[in-house]
Amino acid sequence: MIRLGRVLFILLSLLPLLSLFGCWNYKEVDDMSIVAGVALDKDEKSGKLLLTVEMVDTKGGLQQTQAGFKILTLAGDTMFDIVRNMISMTGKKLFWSHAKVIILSEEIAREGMVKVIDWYSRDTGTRSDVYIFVSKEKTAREILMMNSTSESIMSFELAQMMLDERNSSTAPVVEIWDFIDKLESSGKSAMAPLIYVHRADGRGNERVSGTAVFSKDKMVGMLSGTESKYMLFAQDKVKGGVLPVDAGDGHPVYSLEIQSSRTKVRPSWIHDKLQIQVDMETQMNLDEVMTSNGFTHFDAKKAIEERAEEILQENITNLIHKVQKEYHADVFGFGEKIHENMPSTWKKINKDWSNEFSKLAVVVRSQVTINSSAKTTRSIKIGD
Amino acid sequence: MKSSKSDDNRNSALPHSSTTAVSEQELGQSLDETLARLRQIFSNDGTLRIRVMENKQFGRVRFGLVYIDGMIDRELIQDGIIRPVTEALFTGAEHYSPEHLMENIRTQVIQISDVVVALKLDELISAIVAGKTLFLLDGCAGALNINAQGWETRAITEPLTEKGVRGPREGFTESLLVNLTLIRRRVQNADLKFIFCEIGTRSKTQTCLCYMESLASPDILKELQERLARVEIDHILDTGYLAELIRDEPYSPFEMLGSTERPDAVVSKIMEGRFAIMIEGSPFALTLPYVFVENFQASEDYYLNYYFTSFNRILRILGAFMSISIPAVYVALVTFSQEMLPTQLLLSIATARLSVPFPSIVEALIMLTIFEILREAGARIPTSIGQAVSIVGALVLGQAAVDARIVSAPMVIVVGLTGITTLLNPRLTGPLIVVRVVLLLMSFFLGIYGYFFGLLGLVIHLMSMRSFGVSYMLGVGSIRAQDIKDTIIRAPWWDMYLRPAMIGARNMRRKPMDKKGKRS
Repeated sequence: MIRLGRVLFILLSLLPLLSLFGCWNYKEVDDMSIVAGVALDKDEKSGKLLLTVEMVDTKGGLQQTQAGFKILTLAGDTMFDIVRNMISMTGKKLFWSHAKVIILSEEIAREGMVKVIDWYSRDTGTRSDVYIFVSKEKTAREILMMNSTSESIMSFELAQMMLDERNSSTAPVVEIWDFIDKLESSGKSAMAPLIYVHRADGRGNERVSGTAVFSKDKMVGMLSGTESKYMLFAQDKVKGGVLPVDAGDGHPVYSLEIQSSRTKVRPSWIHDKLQIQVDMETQMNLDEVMTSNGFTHFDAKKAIEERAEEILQENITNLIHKVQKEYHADVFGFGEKIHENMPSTWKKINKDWSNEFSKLAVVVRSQVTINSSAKTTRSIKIGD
Repeated sequence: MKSSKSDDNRNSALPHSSTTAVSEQELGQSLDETLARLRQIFSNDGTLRIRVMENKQFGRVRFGLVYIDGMIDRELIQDGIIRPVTEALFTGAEHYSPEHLMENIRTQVIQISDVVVALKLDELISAIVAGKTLFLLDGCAGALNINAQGWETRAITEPLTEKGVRGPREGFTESLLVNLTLIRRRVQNADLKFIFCEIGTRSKTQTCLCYMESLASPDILKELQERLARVEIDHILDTGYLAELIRDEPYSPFEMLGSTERPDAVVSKIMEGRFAIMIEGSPFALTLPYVFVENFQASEDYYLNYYFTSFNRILRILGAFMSISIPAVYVALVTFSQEMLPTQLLLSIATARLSVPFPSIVEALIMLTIFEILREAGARIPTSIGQAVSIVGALVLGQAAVDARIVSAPMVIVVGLTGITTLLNPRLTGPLIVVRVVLLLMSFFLGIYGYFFGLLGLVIHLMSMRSFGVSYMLGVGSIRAQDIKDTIIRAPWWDMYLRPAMIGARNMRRKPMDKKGKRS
């Protein structure tokens, strides 16, 4: 039997320990402003950074099922300076762990990204799985300000959009860790999806399509949505999407749904010249035939496959040439492949890689297989 | 229901505390003198009955009957003692000595099965208080203890605390002898041993130790008997007294001895090599050694389909884990690690918590206390509708509290879930409350880290305990298939070859195996 006095003694000597815990990091969930997304611009007058934060507004209460949003803008010299100063506007500390998107204006992107994304990757409160975008509009904040489609939170909508992006493959999906990883490696150039306001009938709608191409940490150019798709093919990042195919006359009449695509990039020496071979194997489904006389016999499938191969080869080659000539930025990661397969060669050329990349010979080969024609085997026949 | 009992096969090796000191133990020859001494000892006891009678023809047979009213079977005494002794013809007995006459009466006249000769005064006293009838013959310095006990007992009914859909419906009663017959009827084997002893210096409660000699470990038996001998207490009214007095780890909130009202459960335990302890006056049997997984076992598990009962076991274990973890994890996530919640969940919690005046920990403690109050109130309401009333009360109270913004809706869900999962394990209700509050406070002080710290402490505590030398976490964490077969799952009977390790060590095999060690 332990004597009661001893038990009391032990308990009493443990009691002061409670004050040592101090509840470090303790914060109630309703005492913080949850950040959904952020847009970065340059203040026109002062030239300072302009930070626009979209926050979740929990004032809605129990009756409302959907939380509202609140937008705050503040200018300052450094990111962290602005973020901390924002407490004077919100009254609560900003909570960054659930932020989904970071939108940069083109101006900021062209000036250099390091100065704005360093805080985001360094701070302990932020997450590195946030989606990064470059705004095609004049400012980045007008994207966040435009909650046109619904009353919902724009940043969460954009995050959802990026999750479904693989079904269209018209823009790369880039999270900030991936972006920084590419900035730091020498054989790859960074990129980011483009976002803009799609206007029709006087109403605007946000749209993600196209790619911003970076050289080092500065943006050097843009690719359109279609070009982005071919870029993703070359990068082996296509998971889905649609490839329109014409019957040889320039007017697309067939839609091919991409099931899966595998791309292998191999550097090799051909006639003492470094050459990159891009080999693609693509599985597709025929999902649309816009003519009533096409696709009548079995050979038609073969013809469509061949036409699709031609289109892919032609467009990808054109795209690679464009990036080589205009941007000198290796978004395809060819440099990394050379590094992997030919380390000694890479040692010689990596000093001047952007220059070497522009001169690189590239051969694209494509092989397309059409697996099915969806629910029917024939095209619609028009009766007499 | 009438019951009669015999306890003269008492084991002398067991503690047998002596009665209050009687200076003169020897009995005198005079009937009136002995009766006077008994009257003096039982003075102020209005239930004592003394009757003096004579044989019709033979005046030397003058005898006295002593018994306590209400504890004897009057008809039996009348037909088995009074009538034969008063009407018997003692032809040729004139020259018998009083001792010879007494022997004659015992062997030829009295028509009751259980008659013992007693020579000491304290034997007479303990026989009287046990409900036996004393037969005293004038001139003879001895007495007969006649077992003609008979009193009202409760009928054998289905146990309220351990109801089942399938399986035997008999439950123990308050009568020890009835309980022992319930066990004996299920095990018709001379291996089944019943060792009696008395516990309680004043109450002298009959206590019975029950085990299978060929299965139970003699070491555990020795340890158990030593512990029982060391018990010093005035009286015991239920096996719960004993459980606290002989258990290991007296400061742990976890039960170290099993307790059941079902004879089939007791039989299954002793068939695994365990011991059972039963006392007069309590329908609850103790079983030992007791291990942690027994908290999750129900008798029904062994009667129903093994897929279904294995699923139920996993549910119960999950329930126990949830009931200690849910409030702690909720508080840790909401006050420390908000980044770990899915965004939508965080938003709905933040919205719900808006304008709730208390911090999450206070909210949790208030709601948990209210739940425990409702639970305790439900348990004290006499009828079984109490349960339903308290649940309705909780719902109404919870709804109103959320509407009034005193507590947030997620907290009501958390506490409700905690409560329901606790009900899955009625045996663990007490320990779970203690562990839950400790983990909750740890979470509040140190967040998720504190929660895991507390969980680690719990595992260390459980792992370090032993019940009668058997590891409390027996079978948990083992990689031998036969060890796991009755823990988190219940394997089919044809696949359970061995008894639990350490407990059934004397005779491990439930049934033979073939040469490959597989099926027989």
